[in-house]
Amino acid sequence: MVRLFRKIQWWLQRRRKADELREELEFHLAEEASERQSAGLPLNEARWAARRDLGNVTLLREEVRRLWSWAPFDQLTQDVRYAVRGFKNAPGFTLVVVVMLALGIGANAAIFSLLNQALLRKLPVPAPEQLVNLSSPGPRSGRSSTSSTFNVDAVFSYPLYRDIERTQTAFTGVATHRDFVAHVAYRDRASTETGLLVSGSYFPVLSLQPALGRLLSAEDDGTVSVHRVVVVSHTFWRDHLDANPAVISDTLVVNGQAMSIVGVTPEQFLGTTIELRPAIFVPVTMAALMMPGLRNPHVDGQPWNGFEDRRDHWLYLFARLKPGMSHEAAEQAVNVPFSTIIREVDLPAQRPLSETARERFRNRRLMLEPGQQGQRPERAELSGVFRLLFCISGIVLLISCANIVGLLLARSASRRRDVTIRLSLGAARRRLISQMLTESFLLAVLGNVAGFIAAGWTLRGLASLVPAQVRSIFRFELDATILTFGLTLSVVVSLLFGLYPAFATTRRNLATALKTAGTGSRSSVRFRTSLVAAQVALSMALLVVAGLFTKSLLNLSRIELGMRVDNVTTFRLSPELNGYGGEQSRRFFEQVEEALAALPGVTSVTTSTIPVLAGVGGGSNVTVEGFTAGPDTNTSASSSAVGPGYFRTFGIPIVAGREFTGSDNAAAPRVAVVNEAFARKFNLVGSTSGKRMFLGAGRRPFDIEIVGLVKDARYSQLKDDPPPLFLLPYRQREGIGVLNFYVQSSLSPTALLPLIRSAIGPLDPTVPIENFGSMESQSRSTVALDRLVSTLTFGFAGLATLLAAIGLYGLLAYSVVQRTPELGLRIALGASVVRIGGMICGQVGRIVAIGGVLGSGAALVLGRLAESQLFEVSGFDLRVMVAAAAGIVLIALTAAMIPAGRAARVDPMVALRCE
Amino acid sequence: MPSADLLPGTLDLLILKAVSLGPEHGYGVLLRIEQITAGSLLVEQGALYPALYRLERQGLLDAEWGTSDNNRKAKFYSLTSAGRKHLKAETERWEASAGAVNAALRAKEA
Repeated sequence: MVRLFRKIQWWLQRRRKADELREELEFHLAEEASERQSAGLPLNEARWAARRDLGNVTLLREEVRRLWSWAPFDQLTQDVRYAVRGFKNAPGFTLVVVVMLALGIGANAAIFSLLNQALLRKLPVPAPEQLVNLSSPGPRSGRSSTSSTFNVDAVFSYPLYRDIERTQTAFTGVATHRDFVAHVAYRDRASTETGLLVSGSYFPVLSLQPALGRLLSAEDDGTVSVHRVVVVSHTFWRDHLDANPAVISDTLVVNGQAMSIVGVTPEQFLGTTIELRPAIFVPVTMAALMMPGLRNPHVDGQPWNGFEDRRDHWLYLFARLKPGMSHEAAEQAVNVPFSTIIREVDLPAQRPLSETARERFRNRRLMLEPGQQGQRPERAELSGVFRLLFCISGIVLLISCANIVGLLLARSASRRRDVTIRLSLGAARRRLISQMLTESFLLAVLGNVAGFIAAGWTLRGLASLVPAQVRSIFRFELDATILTFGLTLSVVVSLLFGLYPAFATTRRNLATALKTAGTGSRSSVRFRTSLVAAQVALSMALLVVAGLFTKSLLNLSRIELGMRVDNVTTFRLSPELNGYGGEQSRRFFEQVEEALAALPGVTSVTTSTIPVLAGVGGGSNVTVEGFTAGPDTNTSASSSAVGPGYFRTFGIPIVAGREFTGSDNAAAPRVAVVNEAFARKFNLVGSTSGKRMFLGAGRRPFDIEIVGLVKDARYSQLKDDPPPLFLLPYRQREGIGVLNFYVQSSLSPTALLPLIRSAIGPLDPTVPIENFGSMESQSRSTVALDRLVSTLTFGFAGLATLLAAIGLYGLLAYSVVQRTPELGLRIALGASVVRIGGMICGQVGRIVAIGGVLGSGAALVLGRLAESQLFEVSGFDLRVMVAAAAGIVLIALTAAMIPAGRAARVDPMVALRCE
Repeated sequence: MPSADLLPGTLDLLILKAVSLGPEHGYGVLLRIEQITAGSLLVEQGALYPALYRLERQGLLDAEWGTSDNNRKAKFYSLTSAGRKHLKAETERWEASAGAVNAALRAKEA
């Protein structure tokens, strides 16, 4: 070790050591000479004698030099120096290669960064592979409440969670969590954040250490509504508490409750659910205080009692396997007590189920899924998108490499005489190859550096494309993983584009090479031709995919919403988080409605409990008069509770009956308006008005009268067809503490905001305006992912085609130079300009035809991969295919034009003189 | 004065010994060896410098630039602690083997 270190040290100091030796020998000679001089010799002879005594100085130097020379290092520096000299001599070539690599590597690093975050990154906790997520598929009764796109099988009731925790033997602990909306105030600063209710076991199961103070533990969740402690995230602490270490044991007001700050989470930890970035962590037993809007899901008007209720499923579970415990063994072990609990405790607590449902319930099992990436929504969609994008950016990189191979081959053709001479003088082929690979590697490194700059830009560009929700999930920054990825990529890439040219150039029959130096060999031209054909094929495939996505985007923009959202501004008010009771909230909402309607420039105002076209929904089972449901008939319908003027504000046509008014209040008979899809589902077509219904199933009085039928309109997502929907006046619903407002006005949202503030301020300035924005952007955000993918594929396809065109141009330009003598001869023999141009075009035609056919095949495969991301477009679309082909031909012709023109202008005299 | 050629491997030992008497430059090492062997061993000058550099790289010698008696810039060598240990070990080894060889050569016919 020490020896290697010294070896490197001496190698690094080799120049200084050589100087040292020289000086030392000079000193020796001077000393010896003066010694002899003092013994009586004349100066000249003394010097000579000294030299003679020292012996062969060159040999001596050589011998000493061996101590610090190191063959591989010396060769490497030599190669690097040679390569750098080469780059200096061909700055154009170097620039083109570096730019192409930068584009290829940059795009890949950017996409990989997102892919890594979305699909690959593990939680920043010790031994994340020991974590498992729990779920239990099967029937369940009562209320299942999930966050955004989570799957219902993954939520458990609180009593069942405690049962599992108490009886399991396979885990070091079981943790639970659930998100909530938190109005957080510290001194005079307030903000709306994501909060997470967590069990005391949450942080211990993750094995996290606090950045400051302490994290929650089992002592913090023992009793309902008493543990007033909160842990804040590092981000929140930095942004809202000025990273002040003295905040520990200060008071933080969360949804009106005074809580004591006990600690700060580590900086790397962003929560256990990819889409949630909680700012605060509160013991789960504080749920009722944190979510004052919770109501008993089964009986109207009763308080929520989720801590005893086995029919209220709302908690996500994960656990840590004991060391050495396998998944299978753990699954076996936990299911023994789980089955008993399910049969003996949970089943009797469920509402009477049909016999088949009972049987399925009895067989419910606890499933363990890998939890190293945390709890994540079913995001086949997202992962599909990233895989597709990664494929596409990979293709762009391949095309870049193909281009560089072409350039290197063209360059090596001009160097062939040099290489051949060196080979014939006895240079080892291995040395020449290693030298060329060094050159490729250096190019890749340069490209990599430029690529990171490009990746930074790409990420910033992406960040501006994606909707705000997605932006908060991802970090659009370069990090260590990306740097490692990029470096690995550049090594792979340099081998990819460096190997063939290095071997091809040095593998030559010396005699013929010396003779024909200057003109390229046939095999290398053939190789380059197939490279360009492959590039054409790949860009054809990408163009087709880009076309498909463009078409899909066009379809999305042409969706018939069935409603008008232009000129509508929306926001949300949550007075319940300010401690308002149900009745108080309703009065507040009514006052806000009035105040908004009185604003100048406002033409219509309405409200809804479910935000319109925001990607969320709600609903319940209904029983409709005159519609007989079988035991297993699905009687669910989507719903929302809305304010007066809802259909007018959104321009939804009323087919029969009437709109809600302010007098549809708690004192009036309960009413509903349904859409046509609802009417079709429950056989109400033609006879809607006057029909009655009730919520839920079983035998209960029909207490709601259907007073109107409206046209279908989109509800949750732009892409989804309108579901069967019934709307209720929110004034007739109990306990609504959060409401979305819609203001129709010709004023822009920015102009409206101060007006809205001035209208709400006098009522209660402490209720914050949340989720403010235009309805248009809210509805568009549900297709933001589609827009992102379309924009990216389009960009990448354009880039790929451009690169392929450069490759084609390069090949043709090179082959014209190469064939100059032949072309000159033809012209001298009377070939017309048109004929020569035609020859070149024929060459292009062949390449494009072959590439096009192969590309169409590849496009079919990619199209299939992309199909799930496309909206009302199939993976194979003839018109898109034709358009892409036309695009390729056009671009190929453009790229061919200049070389063809040059070929036709070849001066026969000049050309013949070349020979 | 009869002078003998050096036995292989003894040059390093002599250099270390010479330097152990006090820091010395290359030319001085040469003179000192001649002095301590009373001129009876012939050191080839061309072999001295490679040996000095080799010992330096092995970490047995330290080198430092200084000024010689007649005011010239010179590279002075001194013994490192590793060098001191090495010298001691090599000396013992040399004495043991030289003693053995001497004893063998003095043996008389029984």
